[in-house]
Amino acid sequence: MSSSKMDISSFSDKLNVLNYVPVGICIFDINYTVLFWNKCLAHWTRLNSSDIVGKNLSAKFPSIDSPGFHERIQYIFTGGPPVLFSSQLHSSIIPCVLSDGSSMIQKTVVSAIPSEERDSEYFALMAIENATELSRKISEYRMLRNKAMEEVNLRKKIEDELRESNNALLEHQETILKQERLKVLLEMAGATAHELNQPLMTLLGTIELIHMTQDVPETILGHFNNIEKSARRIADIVSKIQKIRQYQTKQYLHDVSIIDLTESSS
Amino acid sequence: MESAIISTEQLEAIKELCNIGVGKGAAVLNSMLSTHISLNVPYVKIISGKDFRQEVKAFARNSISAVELAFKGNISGAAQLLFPTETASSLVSVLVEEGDDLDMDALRAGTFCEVGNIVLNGVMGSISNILDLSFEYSVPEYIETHSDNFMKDSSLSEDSHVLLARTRFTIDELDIEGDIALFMQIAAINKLIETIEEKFGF
Repeated sequence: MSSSKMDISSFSDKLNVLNYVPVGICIFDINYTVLFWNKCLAHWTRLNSSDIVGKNLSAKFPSIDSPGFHERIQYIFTGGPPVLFSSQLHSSIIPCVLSDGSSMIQKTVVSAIPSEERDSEYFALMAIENATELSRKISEYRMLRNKAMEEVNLRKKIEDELRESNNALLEHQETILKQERLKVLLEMAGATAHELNQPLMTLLGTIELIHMTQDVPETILGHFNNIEKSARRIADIVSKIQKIRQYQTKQYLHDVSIIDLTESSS
Repeated sequence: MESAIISTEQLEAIKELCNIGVGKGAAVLNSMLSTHISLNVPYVKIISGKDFRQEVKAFARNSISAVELAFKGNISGAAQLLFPTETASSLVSVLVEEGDDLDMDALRAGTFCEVGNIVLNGVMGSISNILDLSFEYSVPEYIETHSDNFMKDSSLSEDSHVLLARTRFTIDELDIEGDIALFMQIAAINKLIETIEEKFGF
């Protein structure tokens, strides 16, 4: 009996218990000859133990020739450390089609098991876990998480935009208010200057006539000089009112403000 | 506490073993991934478990992610590849070309575990092949915990000694550092030193 046949019969008896675990188990030797193929793996691959045991694993499943696979498991046959194949980097080592037609996502660990017949000879025990459901759940979770993050970011963006629009609106309102205020002020100033100029001209003309009149007593002239000074002050004020171009106020009483004629007309 | 006495040459020999190991790991990673990765070990040191706890706290203020490969044989102990969890997550993101800012979920932890497995297998393979030592290994495990609880949550004790090999991962634009730590009892460390002495004559 060849050593491979001896190993196959030895494994099939001893490892019968592995036919009852919900994990795909395959044992192969250094030549990739399959020595054991459990029922779970037979169910997943639709390949019975009798169809693959004694055959070359690589010939049946060329996918295991993926980059790094042989290089990584070569030390298994000298008792090297277990080798992990994660579901993210290798979606499946032994491709299996699920009942819904999708491909099974697998997490695989290959460990060294010593040969009972020959010293320092090791076989590779490949244990395959079906990680499809876990991967799907995590993908769903990530999608939900990303969607929630997108919604939070969108909401934040909308809030920022709303805040900016609100500020722009307030600024616009303020500008309109200022323009309205200035318009009213200019109308009022124009009307005031126009209405005051007429009597003021009469007042100043009359004072001029009094100065030209003979025999006006000195005391009376003094009073008229004061009237003239005040009239000229009023003329200056009217001139400032005519020059108003902007709306500037100053504090008058504690809670009352009035138009600052000097600033508004400068 | 008993301590290990190691010469500079012996420490250099261990550093060389680690560099050969991480080099093999990098070659495997490069054959599998589309990004180019290079690994090197700038220094190694032997410290007490207690000092290692302080190192871990300084290395990672919050959460730490580790892949642990326990071994038994001529020398027994555990090998770990450690990163702050954020760095481990960035490493996985670059390797699987995913966006950053993702949780270290079970899939990503599995990927990190595979990277750790490749690097640790390289280092342990190099130690066992070059020093003719044989080990029995456990299946690698992923550990994630707060750095304060690291010693408690991994299979380590403060009376262990740690052979710490700082490992620099350079992957395209990402330049990150992790630690490879070999935890052993003092007798095992001394046995390792003796083996190096026998093999290399110093």
